[in-house]
Amino acid sequence: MTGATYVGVADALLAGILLCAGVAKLAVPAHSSRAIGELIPVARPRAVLIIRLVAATEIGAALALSVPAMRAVGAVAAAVLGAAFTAAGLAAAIRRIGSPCGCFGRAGNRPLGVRNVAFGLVLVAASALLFWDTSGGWAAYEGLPMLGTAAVAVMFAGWVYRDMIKDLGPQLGWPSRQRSSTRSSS
Amino acid sequence: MIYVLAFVSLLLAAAVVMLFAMLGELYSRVGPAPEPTIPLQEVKVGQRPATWPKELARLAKATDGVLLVLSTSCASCVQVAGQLRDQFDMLAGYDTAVALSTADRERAEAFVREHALPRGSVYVDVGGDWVTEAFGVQTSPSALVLRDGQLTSALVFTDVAALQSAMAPVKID
Repeated sequence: MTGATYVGVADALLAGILLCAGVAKLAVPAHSSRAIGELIPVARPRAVLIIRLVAATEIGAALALSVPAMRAVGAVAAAVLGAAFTAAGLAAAIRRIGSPCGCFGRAGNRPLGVRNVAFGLVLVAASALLFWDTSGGWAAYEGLPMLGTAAVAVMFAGWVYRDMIKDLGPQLGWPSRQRSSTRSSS
Repeated sequence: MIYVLAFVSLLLAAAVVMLFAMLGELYSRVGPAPEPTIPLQEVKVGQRPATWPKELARLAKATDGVLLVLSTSCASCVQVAGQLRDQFDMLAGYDTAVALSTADRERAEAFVREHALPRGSVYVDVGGDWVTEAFGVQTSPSALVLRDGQLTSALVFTDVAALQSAMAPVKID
């Protein structure tokens, strides 16, 4: 793969994950707003508003990253988000906040903390790569960055909700692995 | 034109993610779907055992009874035994007892203690010999539905709630 391809893939990954996180938080802000409410002393409606603003920024950054002409703007927005996630994760780890992150609209069982610091740092690093990149990524292929972002967002959502898909799939008649048990008296 | 199509695909992707998020929230509130129950084919339907262990004797006379076949060495049986803890008679209207297959009686006793099963309703079936001979059952966890001591149907299950749902129509009929 060429350098431009790597950059194109990184761009689509970053934009797709941000789109997934933003849309999911916009749809279900309850879990993230609970974590924010524990982190900073704000009333619940204000915590929900903060989460909606973060979600809108994520979606905006994803859209900007998907348009080659606006990639630098998207990279800056993603870097700011990454720095914010890192700060929030650090503060939560230090203060031992128990609430789950709810980063992708799900409660999950992992609290806001070190994982968010790691994710934030990766986001900052990837944004810096895209900001200073000169290869142009997939800019030469019309529409490909947007299609890549869309594909990554859907696949990532499928991964986030994989347990639900595994559980409900067979109820809808999807093929599944046999889960029978055979008695063994040993 | 290609930009419009790409943008539409982005909107569709966002809609799919939103649907996932909403369904996921609903799923987390409602809980996972119960494991399905499967009819057990290997059993001898219509069979009535010649002899009953004393722990299971009341099933021989019960109008409606259910014998849960568990094993000390199957992971699903541990899950089922955990669900039976403190609510052994959760199958309303059925006399319930357990045939616990094991290779080692001490292991069976430990299993009964660990899951607080009522000792008087649990028959420790060493080697699974009795239940295999009496009903031809070699699968656990399974539920043998009895009427007046005679086997009428059998189900493989891994969740007691799913078993309750599956048995409700049987009882009504």
